[in-house]
Amino acid sequence: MIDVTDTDTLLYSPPSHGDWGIVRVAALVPECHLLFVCPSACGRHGALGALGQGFKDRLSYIYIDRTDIIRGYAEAVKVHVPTLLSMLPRRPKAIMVYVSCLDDLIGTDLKVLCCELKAQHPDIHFRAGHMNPITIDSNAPPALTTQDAMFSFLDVYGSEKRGANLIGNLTSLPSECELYAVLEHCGAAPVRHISDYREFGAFQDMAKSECNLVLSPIASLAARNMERKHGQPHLPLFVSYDLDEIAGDYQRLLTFLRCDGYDFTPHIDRARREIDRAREIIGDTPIAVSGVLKTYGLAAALLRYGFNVVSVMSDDIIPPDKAAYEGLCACGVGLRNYLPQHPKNISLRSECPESIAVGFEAAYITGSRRIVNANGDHGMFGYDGVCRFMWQLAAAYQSESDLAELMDEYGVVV
Amino acid sequence: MAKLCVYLPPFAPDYSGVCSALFEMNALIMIHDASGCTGNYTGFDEPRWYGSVKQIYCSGLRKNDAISGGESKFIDRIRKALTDNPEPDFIAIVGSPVPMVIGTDFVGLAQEVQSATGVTTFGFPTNGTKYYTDGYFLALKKLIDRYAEPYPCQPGVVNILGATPLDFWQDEYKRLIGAVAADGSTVNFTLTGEIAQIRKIAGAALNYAVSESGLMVARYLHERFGTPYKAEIPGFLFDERFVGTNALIIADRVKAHEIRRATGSNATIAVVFNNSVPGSQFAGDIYLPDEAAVIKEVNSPKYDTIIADPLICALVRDANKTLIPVGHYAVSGKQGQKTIKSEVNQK
Repeated sequence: MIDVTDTDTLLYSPPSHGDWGIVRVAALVPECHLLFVCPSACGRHGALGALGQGFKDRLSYIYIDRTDIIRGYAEAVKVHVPTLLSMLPRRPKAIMVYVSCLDDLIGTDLKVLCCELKAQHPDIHFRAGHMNPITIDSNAPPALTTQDAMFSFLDVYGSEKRGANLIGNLTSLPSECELYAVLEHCGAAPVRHISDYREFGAFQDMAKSECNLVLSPIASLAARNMERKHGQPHLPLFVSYDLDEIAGDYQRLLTFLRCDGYDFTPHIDRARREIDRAREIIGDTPIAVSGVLKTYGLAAALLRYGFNVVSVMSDDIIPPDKAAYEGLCACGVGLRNYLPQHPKNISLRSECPESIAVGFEAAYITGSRRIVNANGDHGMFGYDGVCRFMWQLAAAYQSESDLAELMDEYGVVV
Repeated sequence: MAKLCVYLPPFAPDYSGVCSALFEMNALIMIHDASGCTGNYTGFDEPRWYGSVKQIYCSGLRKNDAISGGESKFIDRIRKALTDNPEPDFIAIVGSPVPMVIGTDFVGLAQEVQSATGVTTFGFPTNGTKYYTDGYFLALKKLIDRYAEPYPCQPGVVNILGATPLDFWQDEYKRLIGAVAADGSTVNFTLTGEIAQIRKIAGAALNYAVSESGLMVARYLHERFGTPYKAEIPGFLFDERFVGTNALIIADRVKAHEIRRATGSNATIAVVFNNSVPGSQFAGDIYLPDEAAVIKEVNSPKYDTIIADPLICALVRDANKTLIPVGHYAVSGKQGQKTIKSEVNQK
């Protein structure tokens, strides 16, 4: 692999960079209002992103200025929350009080603030949230702390627990995914996901689950804290498109649930058929990979399936993807590795327009209109995820899309 | 003083104003932030960004950097970026909220970068608590102070100040340029200006201040060089034929006055970005300092017609009022224009 490892650079922000953003993720908590307490600038992308996705009514702002920063703004929050509540069409069941990067240097005691707010408004649950990309290189970046804050709304459920939560994935899995059948077989139904709930009270059902299956590392902090608070053991099962890895993940799941005897053969056969079919359709068309959780893992799997992967675009090598990255480096494949935010990329355009681009960053850099809308691995898991990915790959080869429209529809926010 | 804002999005901030003013120039722009501020500008305030090869970067500021205060790291990063890309005419270091909190000395930082790179460098102490109008003025003022030369007056030469996509849609801008050309004038500095035009900026016979941002710059040029200015938008068109007898216009101040003139009405004009432009021409304008004031004003029984960004129009509760949406990128970005298009399609 032709490797670019210099990450100590200024950061280019290509239009394709970003994802849902923490605002949209936090808004998954039903009947929860998000109150951002920050300089007005910090809220603009979240608000316009929310307008585009139709949930701006779920968030409001308290704009702070220099004076507030010097004096502290906890009191201002307490003053403005009653006004906010009087202006909302429905009284929220929960409020997340979000602060931005600068609060990391000021250190507002948000726990105390939330307790005081709760005392003032006993029917509303308050939690602190941090929209602070300044901590992105720490062990508590905003993607993790947001998931943690979201699931911290769950009250302890005392009775016997049943079922499994899927956490970390932002949209639920399609009903055809074999994971549901596996969990049913193992007596771990019902399967619960945050997007299933429209009411805060019903969302509390997630505390009734016996365990948490963590489909993305962004929920790992939440999973650890839920294990402590609710006694829900967790199992990392990060989305993969590698048949061998999926088999291993399912084996770990069966062990975790103390279960066996599930026959995966039909699912594996179906996935293999879809791989063969996609390969027949697209042949040796070059493929550029980006946008999924395990970018290098996907590239390695596609190479093994006989696809012509030519480049990978990822700014990070996350720990679950490290082995695949190292494998690609060691195998001597002439794969090009782009760091999409590297300043070199600013002048790259139409690098390989004939390719199939997996994910938005690959589409932007290659200039391809054959785009697999793979960002965020939405709806993808297990063998069913492999099948769906292969359908999308073949569909992308057969019909072109407009990247700007796709990103707009998806709601890309940095 | 902390302000509650429940319905409207935050408006385009000061750092977007700086970047928007400098976008077409051959500059390396570093927004000194973690990523969100750069994303605000490139993703939501800059319609020219998609497909662009302009050198606009995020510094990648992290908590440890903010605490330890080490700035050599960013200077090295700028140096590296210069090796990857063509040499710019200047470097701009643009502030965000965190540098404000840690008291970054933007003048000192700019001097360090300049001595390390040999490229003229400007520091802009923007902080995200002000609006783009201030940022535009700050950017142009710095360039004028550095480059503008006393220049003999060139009859027929004009500057167009304040014409950025934050205030002007592309078709409006083209019409504006076309109208100035049709009038027989030659444009020196405008949206696509370069350093050469800044050098000659004092030679214009007239400055057109086509927005509030531009008006701030025009006033400054008048103070420094005595250049006369007009706060108007050549070629301005406003399609609405009927405006009620008691209309309220909320828009960029200069555009709002053009709307009033074009409709021949005696509408009230309100501004929301800042109240920093004095002058008798605007004496009757009212300033709405926060969302609560906007809500109160648009719902006042004094008005039968509201002309404003669609998101501001959406604050009107009385169904009997006539609403005339005028998309303003600094308010609603591309979402506002989409709303208008979809309403037009529904009609």
